[in-house]
Amino acid sequence: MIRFENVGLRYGLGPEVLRDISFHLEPGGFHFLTGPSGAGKTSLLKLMFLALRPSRGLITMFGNDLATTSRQQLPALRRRIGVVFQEFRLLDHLTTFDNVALPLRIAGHDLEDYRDDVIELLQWVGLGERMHATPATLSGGEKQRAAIARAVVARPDVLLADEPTGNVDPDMGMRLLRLFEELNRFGTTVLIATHDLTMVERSGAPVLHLAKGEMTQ
Amino acid sequence: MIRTLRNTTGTKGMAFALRQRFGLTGPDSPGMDGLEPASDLMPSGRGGAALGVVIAGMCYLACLALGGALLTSDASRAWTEDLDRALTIQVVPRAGVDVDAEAQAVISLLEAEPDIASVDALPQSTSAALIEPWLGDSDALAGLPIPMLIHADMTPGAVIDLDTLRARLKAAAPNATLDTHARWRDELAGAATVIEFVGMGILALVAITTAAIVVFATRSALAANRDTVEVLHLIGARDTFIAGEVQKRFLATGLRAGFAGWAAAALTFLLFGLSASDEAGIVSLLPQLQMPWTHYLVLLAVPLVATGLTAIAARMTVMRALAPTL
Repeated sequence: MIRFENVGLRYGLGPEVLRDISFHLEPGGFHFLTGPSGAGKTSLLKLMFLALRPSRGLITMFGNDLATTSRQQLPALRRRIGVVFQEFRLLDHLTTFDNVALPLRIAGHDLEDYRDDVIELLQWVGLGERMHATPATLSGGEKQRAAIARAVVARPDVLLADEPTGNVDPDMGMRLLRLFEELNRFGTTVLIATHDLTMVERSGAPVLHLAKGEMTQ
Repeated sequence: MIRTLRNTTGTKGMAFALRQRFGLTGPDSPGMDGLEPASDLMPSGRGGAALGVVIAGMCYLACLALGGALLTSDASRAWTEDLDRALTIQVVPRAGVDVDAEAQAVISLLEAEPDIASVDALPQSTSAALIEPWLGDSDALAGLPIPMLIHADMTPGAVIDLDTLRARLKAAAPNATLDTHARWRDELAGAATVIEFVGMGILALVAITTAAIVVFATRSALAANRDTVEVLHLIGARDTFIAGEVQKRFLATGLRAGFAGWAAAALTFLLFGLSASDEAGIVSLLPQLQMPWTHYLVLLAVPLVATGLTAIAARMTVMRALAPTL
């Protein structure tokens, strides 16, 4: 599903922030990505959700070698990836409902087709009462749940989450973990970058560990 | 098994799966509850009002330029039509010449001509009045030999061989000269053409300026909404989708502002027309300022073209800005 071979990344002429990263995420896999702050977790996720090209090495996504994939083909690949950004990146001028419905709208679905689905998902993440609110009026935890709902609403093939439970209480954290596990049960490959070792231990899923830009599994 | 579930549940699968496995709290069919999805994915109000004022102003100027060119074109056509049809024959009084007899000969010749609609000999008093502004009181002119002027109008559409007519007039009245006003007509038409070209030039300049302003405005809107554009990009929006969203905003602004500019220009022409109609007939050489209603419809092309130009400029700017991104 996703294969990295000897991937390196540097920003501009700076030092390599990722070195010789090699791993393979099988379809339907569930992994955690851990490591201290500054280890390169977010940079690695950026490579995975196609925000950056590697400085060297080979990345294969859904059988496509990214080095030979044209720019026009990338949106179709991105639609198969759900992302929970570390800083949420909700659109401030849209309501929670519109933010969560965004991937479906971009994919060309009609409101009638996705309305109930989005509302039910919002209820599941505890935002049923807040669907008319804009992100400015949401708490940190609510924003995080909205960001997660947006990432999973289109049932992506891959879900990448950067610290998805950093701003929620333990109960909601476990509820969100169950959401990820449920998504995984239906075939979505999940990779969660986190500092929350309790969640990692409770899940029992395999861990990819990054330290100083290098991967130790 | 997993794939089967995915395929059967489709895009509605997520909520369905959650309901099946966990049971959902709250109503089964939540309904819209006054839910109105945003029509625009790009934020509004950032610089939109300023751009609207600029586009409205540009459309106003463009409408004035185009309206002026149309009015001048109308006036030029009216002048040349009148002058094309008009002939003036002057019988110069010389010693031993019977001016009245020669004038009568000219009138008889012209009246017999089938392509001449009317012939009028100007009374001496009228001729004297014409030169009065230069030579003073008409009493002082009484002793001067004033040429006899004969005015003739050709029937509309008639073509007369003027050289033949001139020769025949010379034969009938040796002291008669024929003036076809061709020189005046050509000079007036030339001046009108210059005014029309200036009008069109202003129009082109306004169009280019508007496009350049829209390009700047689009770039600043993109810079201000960089985060929105980036999020849309990263969750799988194609460049055409993002450009479409930006274009939609600029299209709405362009349309509203364009029609405001057109309405202001139409009002200006109406007021010009009203003020000019008070003095109608006095300043007959100036273009007629009362614009026919069909010209207002022609001016409608300005906001429509401006809106199209705005949308295209915005779209091209977005596409070009997104092209270097991954």
